[in-house]
Amino acid sequence: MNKILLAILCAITVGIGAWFSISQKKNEKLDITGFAFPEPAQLANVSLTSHQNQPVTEDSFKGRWTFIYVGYTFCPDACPATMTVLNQLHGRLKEKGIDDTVNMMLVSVDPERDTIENLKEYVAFFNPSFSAATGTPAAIKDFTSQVSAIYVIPEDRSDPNYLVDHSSSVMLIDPDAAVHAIFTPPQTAENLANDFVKLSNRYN
Amino acid sequence: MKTLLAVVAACLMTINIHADEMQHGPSVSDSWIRATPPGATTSAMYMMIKNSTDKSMTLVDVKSELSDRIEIHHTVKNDGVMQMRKIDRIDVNAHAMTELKPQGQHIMFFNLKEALAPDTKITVDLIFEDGTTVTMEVPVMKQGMSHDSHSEMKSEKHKDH
Repeated sequence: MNKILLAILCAITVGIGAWFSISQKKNEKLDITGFAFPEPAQLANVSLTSHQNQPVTEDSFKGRWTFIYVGYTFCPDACPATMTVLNQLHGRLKEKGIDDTVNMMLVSVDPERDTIENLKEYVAFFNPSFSAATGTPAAIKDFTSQVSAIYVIPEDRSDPNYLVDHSSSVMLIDPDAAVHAIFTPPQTAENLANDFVKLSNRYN
Repeated sequence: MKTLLAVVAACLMTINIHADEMQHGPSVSDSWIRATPPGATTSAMYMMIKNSTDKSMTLVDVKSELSDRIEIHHTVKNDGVMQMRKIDRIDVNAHAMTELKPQGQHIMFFNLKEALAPDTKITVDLIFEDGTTVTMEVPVMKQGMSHDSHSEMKSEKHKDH
């Protein structure tokens, strides 16, 4: 009888210990260049369309890490510069032996000019494995606010070459489809890769 | 007398060299324009402009056969938001350099008549306020030799050790 009690007590102690060490690990303060959210918020009601014309919902983010950049294809300077950094990051993660499932996604906030076909060609130019998504103005607004991104489409779009102001940050979505971290510029592939290794190690 | 002549000749040579520099005006290095993804009609051009004259020089316009709309732009980060704005001029102070770089001052091309393929070159004219025109060939590249590609190279070396 005493033996059973002891076994139960042991199990409880080990359980508490394990839970404690896991929760400690999750809250461990990391030395990273980006900002990791203490309580990553789950994405919800995502209703976008991918560059392959497939629906993108919160479930689409589950099971893999995703780096997100919010921009538009008419953007000649900031967006290609960041997409290039993401391509370098992709290379670095490969070098580090991290499996190829980390997704890089451009979310276009300019659906009026960025068609699915445009997006497909645009991201493939930087890396054939990159993805893109866009949607209705309402769906984009909802999604970008969940990932803490902002943008301003000018009201006067009579000039077909109108410019869009947008967030310059890169966001990281974790395999639970939660907004895990945000990286403000200047982002470098080296910093993003090092930060990612620390974040994913803590997460696992 | 001979010495005097030599001195005069030396002075003249100095003046000559100086005049050369004066005529030289702005010189441009490290120029590149971003290769465009299929379907894209915009691109951005970057460079280093050096002014070795005694007077400040101002870039006011850029012309190329590839586009009927080329503007001088400045990308600024405002509360975490990238805002690209048209500016009228880029000043290069006397004996100084100004860098046009990604996510900073750059030359924006709209309405590109054709896609810019990597490893090709385009011809552009830089027009300065005093009427100086610099015609140059600019390589089309997917990315410049930016700070990041430098660090990329550094780390490659690192790996070998």
